Amino acid sequence: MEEFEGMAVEPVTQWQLFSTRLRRHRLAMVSGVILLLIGLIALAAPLFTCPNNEPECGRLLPHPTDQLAEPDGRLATTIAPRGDYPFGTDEVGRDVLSRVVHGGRASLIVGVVTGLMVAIMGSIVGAFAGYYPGAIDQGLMRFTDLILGLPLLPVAIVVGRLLPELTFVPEFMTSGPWGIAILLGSLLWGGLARIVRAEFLSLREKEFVEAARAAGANDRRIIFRHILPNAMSPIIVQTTLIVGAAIIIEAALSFLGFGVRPPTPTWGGMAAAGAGIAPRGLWWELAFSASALIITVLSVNFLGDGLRDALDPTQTIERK
Amino acid sequence: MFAYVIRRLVYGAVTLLALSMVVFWLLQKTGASPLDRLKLNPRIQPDYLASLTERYGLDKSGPEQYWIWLKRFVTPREASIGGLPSILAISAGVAYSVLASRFIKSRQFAVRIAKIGAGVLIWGFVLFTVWNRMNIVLDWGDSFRGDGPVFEDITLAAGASFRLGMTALFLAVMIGIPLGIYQATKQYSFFDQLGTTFSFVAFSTPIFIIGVFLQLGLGLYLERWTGVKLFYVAGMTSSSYESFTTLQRAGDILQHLALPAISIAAISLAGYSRFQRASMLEVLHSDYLRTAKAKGLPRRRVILKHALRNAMIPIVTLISLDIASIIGGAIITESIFGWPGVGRLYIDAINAVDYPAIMAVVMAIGAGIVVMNIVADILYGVLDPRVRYE
Repeated sequence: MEEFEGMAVEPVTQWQLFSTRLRRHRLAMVSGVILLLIGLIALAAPLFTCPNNEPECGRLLPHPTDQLAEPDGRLATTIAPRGDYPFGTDEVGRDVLSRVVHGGRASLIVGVVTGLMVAIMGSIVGAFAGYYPGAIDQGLMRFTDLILGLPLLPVAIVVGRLLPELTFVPEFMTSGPWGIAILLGSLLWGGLARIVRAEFLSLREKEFVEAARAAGANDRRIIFRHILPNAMSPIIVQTTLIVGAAIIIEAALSFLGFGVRPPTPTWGGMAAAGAGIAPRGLWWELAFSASALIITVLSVNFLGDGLRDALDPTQTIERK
Repeated sequence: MFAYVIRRLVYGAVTLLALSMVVFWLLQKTGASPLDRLKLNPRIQPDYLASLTERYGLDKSGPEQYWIWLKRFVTPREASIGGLPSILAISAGVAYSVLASRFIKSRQFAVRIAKIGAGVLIWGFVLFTVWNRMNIVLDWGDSFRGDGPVFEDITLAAGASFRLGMTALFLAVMIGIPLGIYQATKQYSFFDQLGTTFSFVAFSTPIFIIGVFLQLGLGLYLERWTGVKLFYVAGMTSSSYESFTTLQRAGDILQHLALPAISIAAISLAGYSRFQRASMLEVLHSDYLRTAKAKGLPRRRVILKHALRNAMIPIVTLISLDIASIIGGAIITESIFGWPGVGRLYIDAINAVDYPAIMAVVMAIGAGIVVMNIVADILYGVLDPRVRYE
């Protein structure tokens, strides 16, 4: 509490303003909770599903007692959702529920790692380009233009296809989500770099920067302690958008078979397998993996929408 | 303006060069020679392998191989633009553009539109003439899968991709933009909320899920449950297409085209309607529009004449930039629906690690995207008088 002309005034910090606004955005809050849940489930997945059956993941049907005989006498490995297999089993008899749960791990890794890479690289490149005019700005922005000019999906597809065969790529990146995450991270930062640069161009001329310089702060301190915190809102919003895009692209790559390789379960890969058996009326693998994917991306985008509204300082708090 | 276009073209060329280097380098770094896969095929003769080695310089170092590839890639085997008519047409187009940009300075809307419209017509005619008369054959190598010259494959597939992409674009524009306008004029109504929800969901749905669901729902199960075959789920034409009458052919094409086109259009459509709604709302809340309303102009006139014109400017850029994502979306959609376009060619080439085909198709797609980005920037400047090129 501070005293102002005899009245008690409670100062409102930026953070309080932001969280008040975000809490008013009900959809964003719900999405945030859903994302948190999905994240927790994916993180904890190895604890409660198929600890012995990895990497295939998804307990196999105990043969043959658990299998149902089809009308033609064949034993069915693909069973429809029922009590002990709420999401059914896939074509080779693996539990779809545990595969959906595990599939979230790939999406989560790609979303988080790509998001972090984009936030860090985009901020740094944009910050230096915006802070140092002239040769550094020109050089960095031409490089950014080059990255932005590359056709994203075709490049991602060819790199994804070749990833397991590239000799200079470390082993852990070749077939799992890490390689895809790093690939997407290094392709997607261009847009953010442009945005951060634009912010820096205007913030660099502000009085508080001059004050900091007069107080003897060096360039590094001015960039990272004074200007960057003021450019946080667009960075956060853009990064959220990128996370959604990265999850979609990873799923698309895995759907085409150029992303995370089987047997590691991914939603995109399961959708591809599910689409293959859906014409026979076996709808569940496709339905559940697709729903998981849509719900996740939808939540990320709603959260991004809420963050944008909450972080926009020009917006007044009002509800129509 | 002219300098700007030239600069953009140079940047575009540099981007494509970088793209080719990256992909070429990656292909080199796979740890296997391009011929290793061919050697597995017992039907391939050693002397064929030797001739390939000689032709592509496969025994040389990486940079040298790249140089050989680049030289062959840009050097046409046959090239003619079709003689005098083409030259005349091109000169007419250039003359119009120079004269129009120099002498028609009026910033009046009608004049600008007339100028742009005439430009589009003239250049369309030029392209049509040149396209019909020119004969350019580039030596992009032969597919390692034995499909013959890659350049021919691409020119064939480009037609199919063009058909699909244009239909999708047409659908997205014709539905998305009116939808956005209507939503903006009825802000916060039930329909507006519905539209917003739809575009949010469509925007968050990967294109392959839309494609697969359309294929299963409208293609397969609709027929299975009702017995009516409305849509085909694969290919571009039926096998008996040749024996059809003109009317049947048109119907057949539409039946094949509908589902892939809708799945590509759905996401773009969602983006357009959201963007058009936002841009329309911004204009609707502007001062000059309040003035127009205050003058007592009828609502219809205010919206259609005063608001729409300015609200359309940003969407033009969005659409031309979106061509890139339509091309990207087409890669996935084509492989789902078995559409014989460039996207499927790319997936096939990549699956087989077919070196010449991968390089050629990635460059063709990259060129399409780079050119569309340049067109987007130029169009934006032509439509919005506030934008200045320096």
